[in-house]
Amino acid sequence: MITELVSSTVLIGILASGIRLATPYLYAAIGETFGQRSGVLNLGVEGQMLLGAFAAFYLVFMTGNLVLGLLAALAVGALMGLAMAFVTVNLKAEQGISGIGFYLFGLGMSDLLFQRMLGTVETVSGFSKVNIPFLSDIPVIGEILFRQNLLVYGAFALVPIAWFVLNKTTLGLKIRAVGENPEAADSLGVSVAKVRYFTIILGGMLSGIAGASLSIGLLNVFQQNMTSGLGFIAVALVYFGGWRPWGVLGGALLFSMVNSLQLWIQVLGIPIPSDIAVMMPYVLTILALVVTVSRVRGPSALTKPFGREE
Amino acid sequence: MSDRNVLPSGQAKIDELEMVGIVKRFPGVLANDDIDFDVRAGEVHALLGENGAGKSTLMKILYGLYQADEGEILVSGERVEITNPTDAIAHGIGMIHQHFMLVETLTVAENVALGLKSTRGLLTDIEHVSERIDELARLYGLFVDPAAYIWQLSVGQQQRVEILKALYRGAALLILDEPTAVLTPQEVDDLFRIMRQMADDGHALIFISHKLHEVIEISQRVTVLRDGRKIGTKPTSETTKSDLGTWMVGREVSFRPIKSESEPGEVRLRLDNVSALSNRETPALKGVSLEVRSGEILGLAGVSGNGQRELAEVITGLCPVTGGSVFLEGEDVTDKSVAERTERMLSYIPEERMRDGMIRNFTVAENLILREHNKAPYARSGFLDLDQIAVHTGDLIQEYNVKTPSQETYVKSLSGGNIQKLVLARELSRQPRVIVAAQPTRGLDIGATEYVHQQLIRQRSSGAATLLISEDLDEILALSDRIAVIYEGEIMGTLDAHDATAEEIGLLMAGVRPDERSEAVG
Amino acid sequence: MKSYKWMTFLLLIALMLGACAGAAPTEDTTGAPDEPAGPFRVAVVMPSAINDLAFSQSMYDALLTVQERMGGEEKMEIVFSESMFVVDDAAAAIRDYASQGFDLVIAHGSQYGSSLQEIAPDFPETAFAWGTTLDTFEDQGITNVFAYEAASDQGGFVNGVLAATLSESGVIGVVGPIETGDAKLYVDGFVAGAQSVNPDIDVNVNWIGSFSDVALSAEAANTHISAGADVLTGTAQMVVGAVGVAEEAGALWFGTQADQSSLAPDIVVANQVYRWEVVLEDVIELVQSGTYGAKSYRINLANGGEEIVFNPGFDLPEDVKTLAEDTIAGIIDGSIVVGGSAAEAQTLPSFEETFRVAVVMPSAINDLAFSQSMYDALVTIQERMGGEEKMEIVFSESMFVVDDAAAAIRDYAASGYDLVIAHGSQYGSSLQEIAPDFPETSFAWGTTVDTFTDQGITNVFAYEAASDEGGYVNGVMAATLSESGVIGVVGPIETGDAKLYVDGFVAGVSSVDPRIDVNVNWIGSFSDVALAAEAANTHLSAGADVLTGTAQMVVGAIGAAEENGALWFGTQSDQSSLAPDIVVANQVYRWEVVLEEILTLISEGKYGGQAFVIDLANGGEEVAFNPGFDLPADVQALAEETIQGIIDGSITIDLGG
Repeated sequence: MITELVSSTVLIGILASGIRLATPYLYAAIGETFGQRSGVLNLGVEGQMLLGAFAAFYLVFMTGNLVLGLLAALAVGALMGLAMAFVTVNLKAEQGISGIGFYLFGLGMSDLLFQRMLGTVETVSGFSKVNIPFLSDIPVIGEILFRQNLLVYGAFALVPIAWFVLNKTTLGLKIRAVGENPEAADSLGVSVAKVRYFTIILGGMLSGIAGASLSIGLLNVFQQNMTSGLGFIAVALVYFGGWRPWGVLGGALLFSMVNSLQLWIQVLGIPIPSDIAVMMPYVLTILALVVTVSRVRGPSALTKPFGREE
Repeated sequence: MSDRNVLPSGQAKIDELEMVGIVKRFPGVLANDDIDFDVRAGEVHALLGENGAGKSTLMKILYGLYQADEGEILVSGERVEITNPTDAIAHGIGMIHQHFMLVETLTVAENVALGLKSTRGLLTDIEHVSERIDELARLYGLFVDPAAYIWQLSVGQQQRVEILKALYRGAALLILDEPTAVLTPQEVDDLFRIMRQMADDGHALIFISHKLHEVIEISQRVTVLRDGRKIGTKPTSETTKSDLGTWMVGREVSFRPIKSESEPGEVRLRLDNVSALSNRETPALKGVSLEVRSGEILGLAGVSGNGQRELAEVITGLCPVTGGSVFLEGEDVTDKSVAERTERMLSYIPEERMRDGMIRNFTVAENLILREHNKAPYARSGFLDLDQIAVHTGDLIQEYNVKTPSQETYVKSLSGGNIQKLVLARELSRQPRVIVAAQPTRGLDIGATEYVHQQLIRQRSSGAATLLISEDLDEILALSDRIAVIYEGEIMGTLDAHDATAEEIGLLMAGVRPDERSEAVG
Repeated sequence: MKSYKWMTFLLLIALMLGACAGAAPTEDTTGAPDEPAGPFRVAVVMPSAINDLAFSQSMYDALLTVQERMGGEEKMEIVFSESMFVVDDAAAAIRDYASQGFDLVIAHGSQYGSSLQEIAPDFPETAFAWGTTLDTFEDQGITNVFAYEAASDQGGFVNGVLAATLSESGVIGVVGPIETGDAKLYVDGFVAGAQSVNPDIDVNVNWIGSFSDVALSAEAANTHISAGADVLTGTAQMVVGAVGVAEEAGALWFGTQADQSSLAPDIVVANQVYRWEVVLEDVIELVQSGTYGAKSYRINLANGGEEIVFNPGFDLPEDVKTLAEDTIAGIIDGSIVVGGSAAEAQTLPSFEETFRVAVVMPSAINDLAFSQSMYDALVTIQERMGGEEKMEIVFSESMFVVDDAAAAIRDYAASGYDLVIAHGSQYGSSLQEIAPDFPETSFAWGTTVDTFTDQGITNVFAYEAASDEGGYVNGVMAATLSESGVIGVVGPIETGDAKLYVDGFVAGVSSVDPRIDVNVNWIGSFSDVALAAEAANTHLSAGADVLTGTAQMVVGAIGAAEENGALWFGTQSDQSSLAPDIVVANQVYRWEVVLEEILTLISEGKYGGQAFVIDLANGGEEVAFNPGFDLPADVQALAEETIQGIIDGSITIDLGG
C-alpha cells in the first residue's frame, strides 16, 4: 500500500490538493507578513477572513458578479484593517488582545450577517478553473499547477510581488525599518503611523481575499466559522517563514502538502489511525518551527507601539 | 572648498542658528524655561548639564521631535518652523542620537537611504546611495562599507554611519547627543578628530555632554543648563573644570573621592576559569579568573557588551556557568542558588536598576524589604510584621537620604537617583561581605554619583570586597584599587590603579594586549 | 416593525381627531350604540392570493358565500389583504382593520398568532378569528379571539382511499410544502387512507420546503412520475406546478383546501374543499349577540365544514364513487377512525404555563447538519403545541468552545428553563457537574445513551440516533449507483454519531458489493470546510464517483462533489438544496420523536433518567429522497425494501464488517 503513494495519480492528487489548500494561507500570511514586518502583530486575521468570505459570497450570491465579490472582500478587509490600525497605532492597544477582539468580532459579525441576510447555507458559482494554454498540457506539472482557479494563481503570484516590494522598493525599506527600529525611522522623517496604517490595511485586504478565495473560489459556499482556525495557522506560518515571503510560501506548501498527504494516507487505507494522520501537519509544522525559529530573528519592534513623547 | 559658503559635501553653510526664548512644559515639569542658545558655522558649541537639566529636550525641539510651547528658531536671522525631523533635515540640521537611530538588520546604505526620495521612483537606488556614501567618506575620512549590515559594525563605526546619514541629508549643523558615552578612549579621540575637521570645514556642531574634561577639550564655547534654565554661555578657554562643575550642580563638587590607602585582607570572591553563555546562547565568558579581597575595590573596565553583565550574573547566581567555579570566602558556590549566596552576605547592585533592582509597582517600603522579607525583623513565622517594616524602612530612608513623599509611594514615580539610593539602602545596610556593583552611577547626575561613590568607599573601609563594573573609565580610575579589563569575555589584564593610565586601559578595552602593542605601533 | 407601530399610532390619533371633528354636526352617531346600523364589516388577512385555489381562496370563497346568504354588500362588507407572507406586514394590517372598527377581523394563517395575541387585547370591542389552530388565547385572559382548524386528515383519508383504488402502478406521489400543521395532517390522512385499501402500496412523499416554489413542486411531481407514480396529490398553493405536470403525464390528481378541478379538468378526480361558512356563520351570530371570542371550531366531514367535491368532468367509475361515499359516511358515523397524526398530535402534553426550552449547540442552527436537525425538531414541536405562547425556544449556537457552552447551560438552568438541551456529546462532562445543582430542571444530552443515572443524577435524559441505519440505506444506494466501484467518505472525528453513520454506510455498501472500495477520510475537524473540500477532491482523484459525509463542514465536500458530477448522500439534515443535481438522498433526524417523549415525561413529573434512540422504525430517522434527483425506480424500490427490512428486523447491520 505504501507503494501506491508514489503512483502518479496519487502524487498529482497530493500536489494539486496541496496547492489549493495553500491558497488561503498564502493570502492571509503574506498580508500578515507585511504587518509584522512593520511591527504589528494582527491576530484578527481569522475574523477578517470570515467577514471577507461572507462579503464576497453575499455580493456574488446577490449579483452573480465575481468582481463585485472580490471588491467587497477587499473593502471589508480594508475597513477591518483600518479599525485595527486605529486601535494599535493611535490607541496603542496591546496587539495580541485587540487582535483576538477583532477575531471575535469577525466571527460573530459574519455569523450574524449570515443568519440575517442568507439564513441558510447557499451556493454560488464562483471562480472556475482556468486552464493556462500550453502550460496546462504539460504532463503532471500542468495538472498540478496550471489547472486552478484565478484566485489560486493570484495567491502564488503574490509571493514574488511581496518579496519585491519588501526588498526592492523604498516602501519596503520603510516597512522593514519601522518594524525594526521605529525611533530610527521616525528620526529620518518616515511616518511610522502611516507605514503601519498601510501595512495593516493591506493585511486586512489580503485577509479579506483569503476569505473570498474560500467562499467564491474553492468552495463556493459560506458557512459560519468556515475558516476554522485557518487564520491563526496563517499567523503561525509568518513566524515559520521567518517573516520572508518565500519562507511563508515554503511553510504554506509544507503544511498544505502534509495535510493532503494525510488525506491520501487515509484514502489508501495505510494503517495509521485517523487521529494520528490529522495531527501530522501540525506536528510537522511545530517541528519545523523549532528548527527554523532559533535561526531567524523576528522584527525587533514587533508588538511594540510607537510614540514620541513618552 | 574654494567657495567660502559651501561645505565639502556641497551644502550651504549655516552661518548662525539661534534659539530664542524656548519654553517647553511637560505635565508637572518645566523642562525648558526661556532658554536662548546659538551656534555658528565653524565652531563646536558644548551644551553641558546634568541629567534632567533640559539639554535633550532643547535639542529635540531643534530637531523637530518635540514642539516648543514658546520661543522661536532663527536660521541665519530668518525665522523657521520645525515641526518634525523632515523640516529639520530640510534646514540642514542633523542629529546624532545617544542611542543610535540605526536599523540593525539593514545595511549601511539602506539605513542612509531610508526616508529619502529615490532616484528610481518607487524602487530603491542602493547603488547610487552607496556611491555617494563612498564619496562623502573620502571627503570626511569616515570610512565604512556601504554594503555591511549595521549589526556587523563596531560602536565607533556605527557612529560614523550616523554622521554619514546626517551629512548625506545635507546637514550643515550637527547635534551630537552624548556621543562619547559608548566609546573607548581611542574611539573618542577618533571622533574628536572628525569633529574638529568638520568644524574647520565650516560645519556648526553642538556637543552635548556631562563630562567636563571632554567639553574643555573639544569645544570653543560652552552653555550650561541646570533645572531647565540657562546658567550662562562662555568661551571655553575662559572657564575651568571646577567653574563648570559648580555651574552645573549649583555647588562645589569633588571630582576625586577622597579615599584612604587600601588595606586588602583575605580573598572573599574568587572566580576560577569561569565560562558562560549569553541569552542568545553565544559564548559570553571565556575562562575568566579574578579575585577580590576584603577592603578593596576591583574595577572592571570594558566597552559595554563584552561579558560584564554575564560576569555579574555568574557571581550572583542568576546565570549558570558552563565551566569553572565561583568561590565566596573560599567556599565553592558554583552550584548554589541565589538565595544561598545571599545568605553568605553577597549584595548586588544591578545594572538595570529599574528592571532587575526594583519592582516598579511596589512601594518604597516593599522594595526595601525584598531581599530579606522573610526574615526578622520584617517577618515572623511567615507573616509580615508591618509595624517593624515601617520602623526599619523609615530609618533606611533617612540614613540613605532618599527623597520620597512616603514609604507607600510607588517606586516608579521616584527619580533615578533616589531609586539607586533605595537599591543601595537595601543592599548595603545589611553589612555585606561581598558587593557586586554594576554600572552603579549610569544615568545619575553628579550629585547622586558623588553619593554612590561615597557609599562604596564607606563599604570598602568597613572591609567589604567590591567588584565595580563600569563603562565609565573616570569612575573606574577614581574608585578602584586594582583595575581589570574585559574584552570579548576574556580578562585582558589587571593593573594597579596607581600607575594605570586611561590610554593603557583604552588599548586593553579595544582588545589590544600589551605584547601586541609593539607590533601595532611598528 | 417599529415604524409600523408609529404609523398606526399616528393613524389612530388622526382617526380620533377625525371622529371628533365629524361628531360635532351629527350628534346621534354615538347616541345609538346597540342599533345594528350599517353592514356587518369583516376584514381578512391572508398569506397568499385570494384566488390561489388553495388555503386563502377557501376562506375568501366562504366569505362570499356568507355575504350572499346575508343579503349582499349592504348587509356585509368584506375587505381583504392578500399575499401577507411577511408577518410584520400582516400584523400592521390586522391592527389597522381593528382600529377602523371592523366587527370581525380574520387572521387567516397560523403564523399570525403571536401578532394577534398582542393586538387583540387593545381592541376588546372587536372580534378576531384565527386559524388554523384551536388556541383562542382564552387561558391568557383574551376573550375576543375565535379559533378554527380543519380536520384535513379526514378528507385526506378519503382521497387516499380513492387514489389507492385508482392507481394501477401501485405508486402514488405526494407533494407538500413543510411537514407541519394542516399540510402534514392532510398527508398523514392520505397515506392512511391509501394504505387502508392496499397496505403494500408505495406512497412517496416529497416535502419541498416552500409554500410558493411552483417550479420545485413541478420538479417534485416529475420525480414521482419517473418513480412510477400514476396518481398524485398535494397541498398548499404551490401545487399548481405539480398539477400541470400531472396533466401532461396523464397522471391523476387529488386536490385539497379548494376545488382545483378547473386547473386540469381531465385528471382531477376529487378535492377536499373547506367550507369555512360553517365557522363564519356561527362566529357572526355570536358577534352580533355580543360574544367576541373564546370559542374554537374544527371543521370536518361530519359538520359539513369539509366536503369531498368530485370533478364533474372526470369520469369516475361508479363503484369507486360508492366506495368514497361509504368512506365519508364511515368517518362521519365514527366507524372509520382516521388515526395517525391526530393521535400523534395528542401525545403532546399540555402545560399550564409556557413550556420553556433552551438548547446549546456546537454549530449554527442552519448548518444543514447536526444542529439544524435539533432546531428544526424544536420548531416543529413548538408549532404543534400551539406556537410561541405554548412553548418558548431559546438557543445558543456555535458553542464549539465547551467552557462557553457549559456557562450557557448553567445560565439557562439558573434562569428557570424547564428543559435545557445540551446538543453535543462533548458537553457531557460539563452537564454532569451542572445537572445536580438544578434538580428541578430537566436536561437532555445527546448523542449518547448515558443519563448519569449510575452517578445518582436523575434529571438528565439522553438521546442518540441509530445513524448506522440510515447510513446503511445510503450505502446500499451508493453501491448500486457507483459505476467506478470507488466511494469516498468525509468525516470529522472517528467517534460517536459520525463513526456510527460511516460504519453503517460501509456495511450497506458491502452488502451490495463487497468488492467496492470505500475510502474513509477523517479530517479531524467539525468546521474546516476547506479541508473537507480537499478530502472530497482526494476521493475524486482516487476515482470515487459517489461521496457521503457527516457533520457541518461537509458543505465544502458537497461543493467539490457537485463540481465533478459525483453523487452525494447526506445525513443529519436534508442537504438537497445545496446541490440539487447530485444529492441522491439524506438520512434526516426527526428528534421530534424524542422531544415528545421527554415532554410527556416532564409533564408527569419525571426530569430524567431515560435514554432514547431514534431509528427508522420509530420514525426518528427518515430517508428523504431529493425530489430534484432522477433516482431510477428500481434503486428507490431497493432503498425502500432496505428500510422496510431494517424496520422489520429482516436486515441486521453488521458494524464489524
